[in-house]
Amino acid sequence: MDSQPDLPIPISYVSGRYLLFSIDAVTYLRREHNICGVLIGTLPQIPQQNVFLGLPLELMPEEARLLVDKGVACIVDETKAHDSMNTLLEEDRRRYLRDLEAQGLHASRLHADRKEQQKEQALKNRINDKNANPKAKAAAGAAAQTPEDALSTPSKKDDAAVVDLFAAEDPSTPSRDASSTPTPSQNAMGITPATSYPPLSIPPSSSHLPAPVVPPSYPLFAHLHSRGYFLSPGLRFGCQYTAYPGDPLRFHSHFLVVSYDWDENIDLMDLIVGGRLGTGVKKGFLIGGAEKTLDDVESEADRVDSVRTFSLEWAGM
Amino acid sequence: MADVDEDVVQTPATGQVEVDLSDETQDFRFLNHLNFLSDAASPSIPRRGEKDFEPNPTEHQADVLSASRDAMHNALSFPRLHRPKTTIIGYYAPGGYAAQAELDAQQDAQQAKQDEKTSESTQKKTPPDASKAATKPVNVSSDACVFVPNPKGQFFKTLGQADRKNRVWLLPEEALYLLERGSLDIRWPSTSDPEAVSIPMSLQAAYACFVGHGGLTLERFSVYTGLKRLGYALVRAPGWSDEVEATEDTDPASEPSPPKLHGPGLAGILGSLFKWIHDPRKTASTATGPIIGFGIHRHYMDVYRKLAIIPWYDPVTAPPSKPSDTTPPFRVVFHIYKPSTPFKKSAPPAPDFRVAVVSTRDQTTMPTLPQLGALLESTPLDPPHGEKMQRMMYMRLRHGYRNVVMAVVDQGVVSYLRIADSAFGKEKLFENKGGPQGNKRGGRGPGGPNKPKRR
Amino acid sequence: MTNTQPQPPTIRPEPSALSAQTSSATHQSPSAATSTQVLHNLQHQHLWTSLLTHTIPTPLPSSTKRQTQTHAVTLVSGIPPHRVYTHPDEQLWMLENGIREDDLRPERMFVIPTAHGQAWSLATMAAVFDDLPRVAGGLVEYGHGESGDDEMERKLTRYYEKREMARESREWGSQRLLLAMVDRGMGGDGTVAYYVVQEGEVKPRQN
Repeated sequence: MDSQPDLPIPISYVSGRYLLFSIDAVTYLRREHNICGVLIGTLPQIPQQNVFLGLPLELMPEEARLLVDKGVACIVDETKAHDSMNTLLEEDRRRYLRDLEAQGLHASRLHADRKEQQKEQALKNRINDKNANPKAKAAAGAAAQTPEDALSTPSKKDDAAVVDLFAAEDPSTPSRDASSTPTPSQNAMGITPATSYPPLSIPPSSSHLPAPVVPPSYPLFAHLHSRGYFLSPGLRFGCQYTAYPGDPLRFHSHFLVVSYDWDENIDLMDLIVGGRLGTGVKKGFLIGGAEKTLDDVESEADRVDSVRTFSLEWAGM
Repeated sequence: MADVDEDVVQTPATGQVEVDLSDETQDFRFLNHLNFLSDAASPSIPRRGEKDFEPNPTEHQADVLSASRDAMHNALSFPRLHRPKTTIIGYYAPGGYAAQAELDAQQDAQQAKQDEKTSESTQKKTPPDASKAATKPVNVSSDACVFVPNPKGQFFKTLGQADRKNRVWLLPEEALYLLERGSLDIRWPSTSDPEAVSIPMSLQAAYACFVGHGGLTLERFSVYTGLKRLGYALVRAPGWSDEVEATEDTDPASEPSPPKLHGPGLAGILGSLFKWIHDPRKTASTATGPIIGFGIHRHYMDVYRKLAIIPWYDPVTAPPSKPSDTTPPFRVVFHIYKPSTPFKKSAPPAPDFRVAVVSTRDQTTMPTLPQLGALLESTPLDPPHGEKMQRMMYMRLRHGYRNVVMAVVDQGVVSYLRIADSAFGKEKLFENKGGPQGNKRGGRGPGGPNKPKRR
Repeated sequence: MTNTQPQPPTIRPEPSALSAQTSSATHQSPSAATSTQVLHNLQHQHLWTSLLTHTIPTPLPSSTKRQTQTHAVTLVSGIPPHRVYTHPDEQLWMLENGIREDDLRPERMFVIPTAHGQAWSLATMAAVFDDLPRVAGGLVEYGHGESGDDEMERKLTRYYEKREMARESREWGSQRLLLAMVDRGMGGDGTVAYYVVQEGEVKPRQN
């Protein structure tokens, strides 16, 4: 799970937005680069709710820019890249379909096994109940997984196996089962893969798009990121970014962040309002911006060093 | 961010979620309670986890975080599988229905030729079928780009449009939604070689092909899919296309708009009020004074009424506007139906909600009053009615006379704001003996849940 | 009612102490008047003592690029009766070492007086912070309180040593000021709102 995807990670540019479809890239960027993005997709295992969402991951242009500037990622025009679907070689097409089918068969088998296991477990429980009636309650309790158990074993075996199936970024994966079971089978499950690579091959660097255009708040964003903060879009909470001291999976945010240009007129009432808003939810209101403008320096990155920030809290008097 | 420490969650099917869990990054560890590969278990939403204030160097914290990340990794790796027996297959048709119909015709002709050659005796079904189908009107949007030859299952009750061959055509948002939830296997068109086996479309490919097609922005899709996940039915509104022409008289939305005044009493009072304003014989003059006029005033009401000299806007008399009068993005693009509303896709009823979608990266300022006004006026009159509304003034004010929902999408995070045209001018406080009525009684009357929100 | 003396024609109410002060003082700039009002508020509403004013030059916002027009801001400083702000980590340290806030000697705090509607910018804020050490130099002294309790004296000595280190390392936050905003909207109602402003990312207090 601590796999390292090949760098630079291609970020899909689709209709003006920056998206990630590879789970390995998502996990890696979160772990190594404090980039969280926002999950916007439906989780196929629980599709009728909005609490847990899945791939794709939408990145802010700021996040994409930061990764590109760091050399960790590149921007791929995904619509254009998919044009080559039409020119796929027959050979590649066949091989890809065979791989998918092998994976589908594997999934079918897993599924059947799981059903079998469940049946067995149910049967066992029933026998236990009969044999040891006084202890029935205890047995049932043990059979039901306690929350602690679930926490300590985050990856159940079966899940891990299914995950393996979709390590599609690894170019060696598809060929693994290619030789086995080439015959078409009624049992193979159909699969909708998360990414198109394979069958497509990674676009050459010459086709990469330029670094994303970023809003004037970028220097502040990059500054806070360089200090180890995790940043999320903040409009929902009344600010530009929310800044977390660690992974938002684990930590509450510390700051409601608003960026200003260095000489931009600040309505003092906005400072009061922001300070009030933050204090009400035990967060600081953080304003800041770069002292240097793009005219002063050579690149956007150089402005980041000239960022100054100020934290506001209600004084309680 | 409201860190409300409440864990109360109801399933979305039963109604409102008290704490909006989607506000916060969720701990995916809690998804592990769900038995992923079993189909029988209807998964419930897990409870949220406890969070810490700041990182500390303890191993415990690192372990918990790493467990959360692993769980997230697992949950997001969950594959989209299609069981052979129940799988629904769709085909991507980049050219849309028109191109496909042309292709069909060619194939039909070829088929007919072949059939003639091989077996002249066999009666072909195709020609009579085709002629019969030709009489059936086809109502497939030109934006539709995926067709499903064998549409079975619940989804097609609310999604898609059928063509002559009983294939269902899906709009890009419909196709992407179904593929993403793992309910549809979409295939690439089999290019030049008809023998070639078609390749399933990946999630990535679907986003690349469908977002940006036919006016579907990522923000619109986020709104669409977010509401679909909660069980709402959505259809595109006439304002979907930026180049709206003033030809959308088929809009079912514009039907219920007779400006009805509620309660004969108020209507009478209003009438007399207007009469008074235009009555030149009165001694009152707002220009030279006195405002109230000479004479004997027997009642405070008369005085107050005469003091009401500031003109106010009446939403009832406002002229309706067309979507073409509005400025994108402040324009209704979706009609929304509650799960409880009987919905027929061939004849959608008047929508429960109208939604405009705004992207924070394209629209960085608040709407101007004219923009907001035009947006509201493009919606039909929806005056407060019903016994409760009659009784409770604040509820009336909150409900307003026209309303629209604005979905503000900030980089994938959607906030919904209901904007209503409140008619404060219509509420004569001085006519309420005993002060404002409604929800203040004992704090917890029948109007409890409708208490005006504290700001 | 017995009529005793002829009434004087009109009786004006005594002007408030603040009005008297602001009308008598001659101010070079509107901001100086604001400072006077804030000083007055600190003195009489919040019972601060040893109040002083300090003038520092700041750039005006949106003054043409690098053509920094400056105007003077009059800071107010004084000693509050109770500590206004304690950094969360400092609070923790004090708790662990058995020191209460009241054990510490009151300290001088600096205040930027502003009025609603006044021009303000990051550049202004930065200029104030940059000039603070000069203004505050020699005014901030942590003496030892005379508690007469040896145990407490030792604790306090440790505290002030730690405090000095924390100032260097910025682990208990960096320079801080109070931003005072006078409400001038609708004629103003005399309300002054106070917010703690600190340079840099200083984590919020949790209580």
